Amino acid sequence: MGLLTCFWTAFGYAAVTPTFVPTDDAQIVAQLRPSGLSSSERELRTLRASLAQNPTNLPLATDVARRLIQQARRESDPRYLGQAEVALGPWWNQAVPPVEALVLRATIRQSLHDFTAALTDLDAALAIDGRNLQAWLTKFTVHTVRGEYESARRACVPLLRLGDNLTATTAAATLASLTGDASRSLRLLETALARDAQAPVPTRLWALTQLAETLDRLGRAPEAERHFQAALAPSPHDPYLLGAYADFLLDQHRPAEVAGLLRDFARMDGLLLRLAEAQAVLPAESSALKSEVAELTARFANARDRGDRVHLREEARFNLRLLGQPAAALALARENWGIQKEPADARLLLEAARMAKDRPTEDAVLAWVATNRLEDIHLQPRALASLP
Amino acid sequence: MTFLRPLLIGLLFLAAHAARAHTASTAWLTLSVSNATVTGQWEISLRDLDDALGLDANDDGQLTWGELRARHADVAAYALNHLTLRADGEPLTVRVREHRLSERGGGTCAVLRFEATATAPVRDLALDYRLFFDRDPLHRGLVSQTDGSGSPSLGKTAGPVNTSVLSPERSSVTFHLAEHKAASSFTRFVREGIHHIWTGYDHLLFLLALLLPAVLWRDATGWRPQASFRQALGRVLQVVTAFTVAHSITLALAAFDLVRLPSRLVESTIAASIAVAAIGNLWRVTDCETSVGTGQSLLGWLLARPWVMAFAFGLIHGFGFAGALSELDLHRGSLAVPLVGFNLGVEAGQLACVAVFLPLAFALRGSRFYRLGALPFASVGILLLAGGWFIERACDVKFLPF
Repeated sequence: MGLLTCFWTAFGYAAVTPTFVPTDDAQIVAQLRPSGLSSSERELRTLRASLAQNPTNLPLATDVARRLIQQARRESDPRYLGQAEVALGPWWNQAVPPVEALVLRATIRQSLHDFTAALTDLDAALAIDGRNLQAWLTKFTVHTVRGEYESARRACVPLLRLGDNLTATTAAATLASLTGDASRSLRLLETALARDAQAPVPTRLWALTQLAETLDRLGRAPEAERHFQAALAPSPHDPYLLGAYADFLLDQHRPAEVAGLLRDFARMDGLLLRLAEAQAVLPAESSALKSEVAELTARFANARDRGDRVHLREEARFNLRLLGQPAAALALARENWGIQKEPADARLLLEAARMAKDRPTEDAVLAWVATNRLEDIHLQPRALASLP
Repeated sequence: MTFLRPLLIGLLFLAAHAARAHTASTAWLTLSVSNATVTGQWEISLRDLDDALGLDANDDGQLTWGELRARHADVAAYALNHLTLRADGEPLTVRVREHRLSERGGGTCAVLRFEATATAPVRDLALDYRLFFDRDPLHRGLVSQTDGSGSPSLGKTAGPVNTSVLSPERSSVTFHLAEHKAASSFTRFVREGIHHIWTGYDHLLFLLALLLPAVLWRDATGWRPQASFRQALGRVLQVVTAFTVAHSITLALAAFDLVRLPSRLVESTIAASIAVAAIGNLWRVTDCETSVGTGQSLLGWLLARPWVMAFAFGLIHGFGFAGALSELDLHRGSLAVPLVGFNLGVEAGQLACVAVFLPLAFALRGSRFYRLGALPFASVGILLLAGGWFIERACDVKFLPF
């Protein structure tokens, strides 16, 4: 029957979705934004309108694209990346667009996990303008995410020269924390944060998140907690931070706090996944869990139908932790590992391999961890022993 | 530089972020064709429509049904402006008949139900899709074409016959209706037939039990090798043909619902048939003679003519195939194509096995291994397995791992 099942479920086809017609005109049918139009959204709307009138105005186009990329990050919504691409329309398909457009194109491609194309753009941009801080920073990030630490180190050097102190230090510390120098990374970050107390909020957010995540990998939970809190205080809605803190809480067996933290963020797939993981261990939440697992199943099916590849990590985790399907999780985790190699990716692959009893993969991940001297208690044999 | 700094960090984080994304902009378009009428259902995210049309009149971030209803005509015009349907080259005029809502992709969708009528029954339905590509190139249109039996407007569930992901790079698609339908289901049923014979070991095992002695003949002292390949091949063909003819007859009878047998009875008898075939191989020739003419038992006569057993039990196996075929959820009226396809698949799977078995068995037939080892031991193994299946199926219990 296997073949046939594939056939009918082409498109993860949930048959025909139920449709309805509200009876009351006052009924709210969609929450388009978390709240009313903010001043920055109003501004963006005006800018987009004037760009539509004057689409070849490069400074206006890059301004709009930049704002949209920031919005995509704030809302964790790829729609705005597509809109940013449209803003860069006249330059998007050029082989070598102006540097500003090139760097933004790289950023959009990187966000869609098209890392190879992003690096090509960044190298082209740096060939024209070797002092482009944003290009170096993005290049550093892409190499780090891909686990290419030698290349990341080379991209980090210019940051020390071109960037401000906290940015450069955080980049260097990030790299150190992943390559066997976690304690030095902590010292660097603590010193820089203490000295740059007036640094802009996003820079401090990055530094504090790095610090908290490194402390967590070292098993120093109370200190990690303190820095997560310090990061959350000025940025309570940052999706990346919320995800990282939720992961920390889940590891600390504090699911009730995760449920409270993420209840209003279910629209974001990654945060919905963590919310469901928390509810899976909270007996009172079993009915909510059921509908959330169904919702996540539908969203991952949709991503697959579309041909998206940005969800592999979350989908593997969903299969491993919520569906109890280690074989499917392992296949996804392996595919994800071909694209990105952050500690979370290593952990996922390792756990999936362990639960699917795939010894060679398990050994390969542990060998990778040893080679890079990645310090992470979640990748220790002791952590694995607690898996079901 | 100062104003850029937050931005730098903002951008920097994106790599880790995309993985926590919302569902990207997606619309679902389901088309169904019945003769000259094309009906469709298009589910489009309200967030995307709001971005294009500004539906939220008071910009409070909340869209009410009243606000949306007031703009239904605009929504329909905008959507249809970005879709062209052609039936065999003729552009169709599409009318939206109903506006509804659905929950999909992590948000609410406007649901447009529409209809278009061509001048003649539609053979090729071409689709040119442009929705939102000018606003968000990451938008994807997921188009499925279902066959006419399940109309989306009735909320019936018809599996998609054809699906396609439309993007700015590939924004049009043509569905070849008549041809596609027959071809796809035909090859599909052939595959199902092969799949069934390969995974339902009972049919193959029955055949194997009957074919094991085909390269031998027996006299009072035991099994002797067949002299010629032609003779062996002839016996194999007799058995396979008899089995095929018999199960084709009952498969057709059952598929058209002319004869119906309880599946427990059918499945148990299939298991029993395998056991009987295996026992036949173990029967000592001295216990029975090879000809009825000498006045001996019917059993002896039967053992000399395995094709008779293949035919008799083949009738029962046919009902088993019918059970598998009926699980494929067929539409009555179009039964001939699945039936022929499925049966051909079964035969193909069967012949593949025979093609492997016969040369091998023929080469080994003279050896003591085959006559004294393979034949009796394989037969005992088959007997035990079939006996187990029989108990499982007759008593409705489960203890075998397969």
